Amino acid sequence: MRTGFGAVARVALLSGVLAGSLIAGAAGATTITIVNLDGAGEGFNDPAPVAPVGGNPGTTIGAQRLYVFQYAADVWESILPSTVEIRVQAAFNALTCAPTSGVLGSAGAVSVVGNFPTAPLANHWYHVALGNKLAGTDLSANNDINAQFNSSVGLTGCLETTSWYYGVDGNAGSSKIDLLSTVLHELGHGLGFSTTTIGSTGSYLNGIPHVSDHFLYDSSIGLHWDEMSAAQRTASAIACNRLVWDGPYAMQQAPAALAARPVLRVNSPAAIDGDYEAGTATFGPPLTVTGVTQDVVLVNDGAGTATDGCETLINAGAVNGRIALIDRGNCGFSQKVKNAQNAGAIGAIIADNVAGCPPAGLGGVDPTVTIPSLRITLADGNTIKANLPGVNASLTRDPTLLAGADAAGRPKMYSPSTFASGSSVSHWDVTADPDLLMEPFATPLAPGQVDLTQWLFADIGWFRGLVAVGDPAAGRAHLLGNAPNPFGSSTTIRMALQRDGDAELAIFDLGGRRVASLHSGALPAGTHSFDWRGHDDSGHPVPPGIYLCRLRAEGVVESGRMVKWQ
Amino acid sequence: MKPHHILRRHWPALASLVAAAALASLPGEAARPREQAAAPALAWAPEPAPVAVTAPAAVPAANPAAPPGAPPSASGRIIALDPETGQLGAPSPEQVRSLRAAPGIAAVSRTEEGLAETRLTDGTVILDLDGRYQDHVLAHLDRNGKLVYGCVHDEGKSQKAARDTIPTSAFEVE
Repeated sequence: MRTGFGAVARVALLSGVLAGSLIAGAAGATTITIVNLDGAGEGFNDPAPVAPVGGNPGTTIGAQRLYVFQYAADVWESILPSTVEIRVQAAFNALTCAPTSGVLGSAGAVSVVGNFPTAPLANHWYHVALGNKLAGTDLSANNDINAQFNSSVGLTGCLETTSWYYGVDGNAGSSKIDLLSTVLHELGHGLGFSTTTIGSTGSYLNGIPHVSDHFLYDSSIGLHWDEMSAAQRTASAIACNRLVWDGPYAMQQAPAALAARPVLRVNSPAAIDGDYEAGTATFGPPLTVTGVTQDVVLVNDGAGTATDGCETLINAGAVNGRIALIDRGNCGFSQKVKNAQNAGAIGAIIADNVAGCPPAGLGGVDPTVTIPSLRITLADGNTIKANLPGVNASLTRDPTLLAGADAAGRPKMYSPSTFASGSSVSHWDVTADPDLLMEPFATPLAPGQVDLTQWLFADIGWFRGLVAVGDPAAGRAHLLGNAPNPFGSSTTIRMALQRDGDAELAIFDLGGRRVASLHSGALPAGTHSFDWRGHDDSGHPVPPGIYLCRLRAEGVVESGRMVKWQ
Repeated sequence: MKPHHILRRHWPALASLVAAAALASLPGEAARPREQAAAPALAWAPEPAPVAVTAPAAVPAANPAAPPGAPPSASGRIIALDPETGQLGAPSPEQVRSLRAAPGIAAVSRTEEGLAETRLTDGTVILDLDGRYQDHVLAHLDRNGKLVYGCVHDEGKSQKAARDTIPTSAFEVE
């Protein structure tokens, strides 16, 4: 199960030296405008009545669609600072569709720009929204991002067994498609989380690298994508664990965003001892730093592929009290682990049955599974099998390493050994734990979660022009933002005072009404943190939405946006 | 294979280091100053305005290395819904094959051929992507009734080749 294990301790460790999520305080002026391209009576203007759902107050389909888009825009607005309006041209149209398949939509940048006078890097492409921000002016007369989604989903003849979920509370359930997370992810690509360089050929767009290529780094050859040959880029895109992001902001924040890395630690024999990369399970207890340690036994269920663990184990006597090694295939992961558990195993290792890396996770649901499990690659599984009996191992987490980053703390980019068009390179790696918004394979996330992604945006220039409070240029009180943002049950707001004095920190809604007062009175110079649990001054929870935190101190007033999603 | 054994023992205590120190140790940094690789700030505040680039290098008009029809850079998101477990997750390789083969994957060209480039007098270059380089969100019910949905690039002439690529999924259920 993917959890935030380890992350809390790391946040605490870093709280004294890092800014945390500073972004809300920096981004107050950004405007992302949804340009509704739909005609009367269709798409965003569909008048069909519906009941409000999941925090979406709209009473027509069109209104709910627009609310979701604007909600996603608000989330990015609350994070990315720009004085130039970001215009997202959007429409719901009847796109290509059939009862069992169809296009749900598309999104991306309208154009890319380069060599504008204030470009941090010459001869590099920037998505136009970012280029505009860096230039401080609208470089293109056109809109900045395209977004088009299918209005026919769920109707006769178009993916009839499912439908869009227009709530903003993350409760899409098992049969609906969450529009909010999809729009957030796709807008992320449109805002710059993507390289325009072709991963499968290594070719630059029009001969020019993308700003992302400046931070895509192959740790084995010590070069970035904008320093490599096309052949080197092609090799890097399928390097598996070698392609990382070495932008300073993402690296700095990775320990706060990522948990301790799950590993299979082989303790003996010495010939194969060491840590092996592992994928985690969505069922059973999470892996812990303490972990479980025992000898490893290959299961035997006496039927078909005897080592697949799909039937009751016939070597329960050997498995009892040990860690079961099971081959992938022929039945669900949770069933295999449950059979091992029934035989008395204290943990289970699933060895993949196809070559490739990194090891994927273990999906499935079984609340009766009580032993930890993990997944390793086919190659690693074969290594262990070749040394049985006599292998002693631990299913654990290494607190000195990050799940989804390399040993130097650089977040990994998705670069499986087989190039995956549509997934490779322009996403975080799937070993990130907790899951990240910009992973290629979506897993349930907190609504509006932006996570480490915002720091990648910092690296490519979205926060250029904003530096340290400790810098002499600062010289005044500052709101340092809140983390997490968006948030559910609580968030921590940080502020810095340059000198002793009175300070007032309060929460307002978008209507300008004071919601809660967090502090009013004298404070010493330095950095201060205040928790807000999403309640008003009467102790009542406030509804989900956008709120402003406002600092008044040292003669200045500074505010930042926060998103409360539940 | 012991891929992480040595690395684990040499892990720097990143959390206790300032980013400048961490960056200084990165391979490649010393060889080539990287403009945006400065140490992260501890907090935000205004910095001096960026220095204008007075003589930006010319942007080549075309990329001779990029063959027409080549697939674009990859970015996209895939979600699988397993009706047996009710869990969202990544598709199995089989589901990915189904997704790639699904009708309705947009045939919009992703080549750079014919893209209009605008050059301003100050050196700014604007490349209109003409609706290309978009992430397409797809859904497909495979023959087992499993719904696969997500976002992939439109792949044009390279669609068939893309069907043969199978990403390792994150949360297969079997």
